[in-house]
Amino acid sequence: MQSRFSIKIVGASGQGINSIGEILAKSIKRCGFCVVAYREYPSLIKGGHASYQIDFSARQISGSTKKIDLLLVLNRQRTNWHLDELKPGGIILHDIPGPRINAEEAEKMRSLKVKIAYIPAHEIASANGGNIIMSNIVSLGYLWKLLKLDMSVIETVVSEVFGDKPKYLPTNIACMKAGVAYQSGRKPTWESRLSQPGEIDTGENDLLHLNGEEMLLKYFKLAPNAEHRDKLLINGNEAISLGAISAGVRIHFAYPMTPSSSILTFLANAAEQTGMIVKQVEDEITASAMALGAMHAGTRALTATSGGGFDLMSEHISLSGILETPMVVVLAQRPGPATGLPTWTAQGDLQLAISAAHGEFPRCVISCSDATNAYSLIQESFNIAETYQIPVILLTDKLLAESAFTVSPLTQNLPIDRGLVPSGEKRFLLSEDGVSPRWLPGSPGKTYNANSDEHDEVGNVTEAAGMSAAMMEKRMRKLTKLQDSLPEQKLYFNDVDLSSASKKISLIGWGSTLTTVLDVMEELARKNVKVDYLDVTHLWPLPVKQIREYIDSASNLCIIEGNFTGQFEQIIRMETGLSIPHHIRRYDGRPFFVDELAAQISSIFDIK
Amino acid sequence: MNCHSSKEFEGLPVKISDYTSSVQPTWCGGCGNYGIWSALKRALIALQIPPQDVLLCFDIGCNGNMSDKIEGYRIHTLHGRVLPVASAAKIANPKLKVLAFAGDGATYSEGIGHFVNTLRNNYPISFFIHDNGNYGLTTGQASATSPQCAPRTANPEGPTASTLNPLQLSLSLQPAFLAQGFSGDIEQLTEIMIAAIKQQEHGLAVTNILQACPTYNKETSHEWYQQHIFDINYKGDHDVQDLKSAQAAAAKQPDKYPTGIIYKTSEVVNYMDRLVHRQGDWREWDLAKEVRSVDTSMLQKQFQ
Repeated sequence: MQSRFSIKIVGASGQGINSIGEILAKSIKRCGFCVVAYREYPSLIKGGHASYQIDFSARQISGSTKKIDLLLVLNRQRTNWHLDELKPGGIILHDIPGPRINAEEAEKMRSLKVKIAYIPAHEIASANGGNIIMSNIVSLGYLWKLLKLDMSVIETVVSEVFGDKPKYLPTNIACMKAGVAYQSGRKPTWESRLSQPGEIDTGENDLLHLNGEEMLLKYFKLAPNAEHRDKLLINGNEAISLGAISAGVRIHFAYPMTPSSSILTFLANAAEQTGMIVKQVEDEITASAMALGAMHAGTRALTATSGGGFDLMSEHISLSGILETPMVVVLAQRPGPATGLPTWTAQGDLQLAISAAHGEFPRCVISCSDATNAYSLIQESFNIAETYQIPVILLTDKLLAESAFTVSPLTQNLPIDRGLVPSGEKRFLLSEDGVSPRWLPGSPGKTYNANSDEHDEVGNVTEAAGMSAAMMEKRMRKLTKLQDSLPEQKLYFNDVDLSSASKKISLIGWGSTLTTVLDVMEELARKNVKVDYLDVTHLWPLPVKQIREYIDSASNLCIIEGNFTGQFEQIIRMETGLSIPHHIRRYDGRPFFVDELAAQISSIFDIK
Repeated sequence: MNCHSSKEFEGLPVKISDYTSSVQPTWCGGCGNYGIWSALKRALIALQIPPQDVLLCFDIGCNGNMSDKIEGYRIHTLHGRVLPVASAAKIANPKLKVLAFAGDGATYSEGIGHFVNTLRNNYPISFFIHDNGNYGLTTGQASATSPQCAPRTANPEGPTASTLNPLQLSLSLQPAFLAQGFSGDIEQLTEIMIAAIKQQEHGLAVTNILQACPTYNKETSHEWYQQHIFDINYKGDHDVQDLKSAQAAAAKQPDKYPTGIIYKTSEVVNYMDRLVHRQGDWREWDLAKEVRSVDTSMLQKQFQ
């Protein structure tokens, strides 16, 4: 009996895939399942192929699988059957009258023993006063019935989602109920389409005679787990936004860029409740300059972008370095170079983050690895930025930014640490630990010059060799202090007894890879393989001691990251002098999927 | 216009000496920055603003070298970027008097996007452009306001792009306040600066300052400007609230350069007043004090 299932809704983007995906995901979660929702979509507004994948289980999961149990196909223009992703015996539910299936597809369907069910959703929607978009709700209702889950739950969720469009709510509810009520009572009638002109008659249409409804009901025997019901279904950007609110951020400056844009949207929509000033500015140079200016005047301001926008921000990261004005930038990664794959995922900007901007100055680079730590790490980013008076770059990636995860309510609220003094004498005092007293413009007492030129202790320009060297050394001492106070990096492991394990392997990585690895660990536990994973969130300065110890004590060690050159592996080698024998890298815009990654790891370590 | 003589400041709590830096100026002899520097200090004293209440924001160039030749809270930013830094500081702490300074290179070339958008947003700050018609600090290259006929370093045959008219550019963007000063007329510039700083209560004040650069700009020298400027407010017949009159005055350049307050309107809403979700008078906000730990549990409910 499999313990997790995967449903993928596919269709044209702009067709409402996300809306029904979100309704379905939230409804399944409220029935007591742990849900992971992962979106794929092209970089255009309408048309093109998009998908919304929902993985769910009664146990805790956080990754998506490549292979799908059930496909809900809504693409009426150019039907894509996703047969390479369908599991053997998998199910296709569709709403396409007279779909096209070519000979190759028919052959694949046959060999996979695919089961197909059809619902005349558009017809049903029309009969209930709905339009073509609402036929999605009909299909959703039908699917919900086949899952045998509580009707009242999805009705509530539909009401919530369409709550701001009350005019359309009754029709949507009627369409959904009609979908639930639909019973084909007949075998799918579209096998004849295979012999339409231009298509090859395979002569063997037996697979098409299966009654989809029966198969579905038999297939899904899921027992919910009540503990998931009240959890949050939340994506990484929403968690970062909430964390920023929690950290007392009062202004957000940004320029939209996928996959960071939903931070801007979320904070703007929450502004009425939070009182935050949310400003979409003319470009990323402005966004970073304004974030720095607002922080200089003493508030907490956030900016967020992706790689291309981050390039534009880099001069202000350098400015933050010499002014010792704190700054926090969220860098949501997607594949480059240049425009790259705008709506896909990558971990390709780590070395950019640690080395962007001219000159040498201390900085901190942190990476979120799941929705829960995204919430606390943005708070920590502000505390570090203000305590050390440095720029902090918080990395995330498209997978984490835009996928929704089932997590416990976010309760890790860190105390705010601003590192401010009411007034002072020397703003850039050559202090022992490198941190100088920082007081805000407007404070009574001595004023100062925050000078982008090299300066002396009060901020006056200097070109003297001695003071220039002393200031550089002072600033860089902050990096040493920060490195000495980094938190312990979290070690994850599966529930396999080491003494009786068939094998022990050690993995290391960063970013959203954690979400996949956690599920991989469970897969490998079933093969009695003990798995450790060191999830490195604090990437610069590197927690050298802990990483060195981990590498030294590991026997079967593999590093996993979403880039071509092994950027984190290089940093580890540079900072520890140690090499890692095995690596898994991905750079095609796709995230790591649970089943694929488990297979890759098994292949490297000869796990049967 | 009223003349603020040094005697007039005697006995006032905030003194010129409060703004006097121990660092000596490094500008060339005859540089227009001396006049601007002097007018700035006079304006701050005339308004009795203590150094603790100002944030003087400098761009890069000869103007930016003023950052340690004067007291007050100061921030010396990057080339072309002073406006977004200054605007955001004002949003964060509207009680600060925020004054931004940049050259013609920063304003009309490197940072022209910021200039256009700062006008569109009408952030309530005072912006002063040291327009000396060239890039002085990098040894005299052409700027957007260099005269057409003038050879410049890197442009020995003269500029290869047309000359920009700063007043016309600003007037096309609905400025709340537009003035032009001359570095050689400290008294008039002081009055303009006073008006521009007061304007912060309402919105953005843009002041283009025609500045002599004796080292690199031989074409529009101090003496040349003296012959080509006219005080538009002198006769009392210029309606500063009339856009058409302002445009007509701006169109006189490069033959004649109007100085004084060119245009002023109260019809453009400033950025702060557009933030309808914020409570209370923005002039009383202090976003530094607003920073505190916020309970997000109510906001999390939508995800359940």
